[in-house]
Amino acid sequence: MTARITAEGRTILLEGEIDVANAPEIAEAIRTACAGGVEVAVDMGGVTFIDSSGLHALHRAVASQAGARLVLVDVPAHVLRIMGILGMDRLREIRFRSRAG
Amino acid sequence: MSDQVLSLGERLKQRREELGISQAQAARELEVARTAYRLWEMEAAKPAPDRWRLISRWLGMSVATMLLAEDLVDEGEARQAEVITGRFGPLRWDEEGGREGGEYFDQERALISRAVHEGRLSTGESADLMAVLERIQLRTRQRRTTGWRDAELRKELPADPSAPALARAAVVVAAAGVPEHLLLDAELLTSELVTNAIVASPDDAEGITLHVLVSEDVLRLEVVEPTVPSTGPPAGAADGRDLRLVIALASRWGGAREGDTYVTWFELDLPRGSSGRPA
Repeated sequence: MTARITAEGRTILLEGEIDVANAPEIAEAIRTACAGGVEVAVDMGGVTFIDSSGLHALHRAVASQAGARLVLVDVPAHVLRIMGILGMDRLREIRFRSRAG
Repeated sequence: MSDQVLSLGERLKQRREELGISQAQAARELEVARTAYRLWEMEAAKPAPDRWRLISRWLGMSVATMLLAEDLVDEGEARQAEVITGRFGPLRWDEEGGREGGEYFDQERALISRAVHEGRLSTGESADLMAVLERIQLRTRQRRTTGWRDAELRKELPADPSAPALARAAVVVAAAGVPEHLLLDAELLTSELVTNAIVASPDDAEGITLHVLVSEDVLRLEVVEPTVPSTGPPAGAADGRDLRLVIALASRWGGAREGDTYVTWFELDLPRGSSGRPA
């Protein structure tokens, strides 16, 4: 079950399982989208699994682009809990949003 | 491969691929959390009766056929029920049942009573259907209280980035029936330990071995590496060797040299009292 990344301008759609196998690819997509220090939305609605490798990759990618910010959309409840343990719910460069509507 | 051989998880996956949708989308259509849907596909968890109608309709089959795949009816019972309910038209019985009040079994009983009252079922047929329903309900209840089974699994994994995904799948299947939040924690902890093992191993390393033990009150996972790393895994490093999740979620965990191997492990306590398992 590999992840699928769809990038459309400032929105990235992630689907599937995210771990050490595909974290570099995802980090690259996010770095590219964040270039210039912009805000990028990452739709996590289709993510079925993510571990610390995946989460660290997300963070490192946005942190590497000065001024950039990620808005994580529709993050599953248990992933929010994990991000809390890792202190990732208190970062300036990562925000959260539920699915609109 | 005939239809009879496919498990519910396989059928769900087949249908989802036919529809060309993701697991998250399938979960939305079946009105369940995506974590639950994913566990169904992996055969690590079973849908509750209140989902049966929705799922069987989504799969394009009767509830009876679905329950056959689930081993909640045997072939004789399924055939007996379908001979009677099939008279109402393809999938009509389930459609009508869905309009009754209450949960699945209440709905079925209400429909059977109403059909007899309206002269569409004989009292003999009603008795047959009620008997099958009783047995399904009993088996469902038994399955809920016995929860998970004792399991022991040993699996060889390559010392490369594909290992964590393979390990997660193996653990989830071995621990099928464990309460969802614990199953998800076990899956995550497995991914953390296996990732640590492959990140720490040299490029030419032979594989690693996964050892999973599921018992009545504990799930234990060991990751065995054939070589001894020169330094232990540092905690807090942002390169896949973060132990914070292991520390936060595991009941107990550790790592030790054993002969010419290095074993890292975690244990998760399982809710013994509520599983109601027979001695």
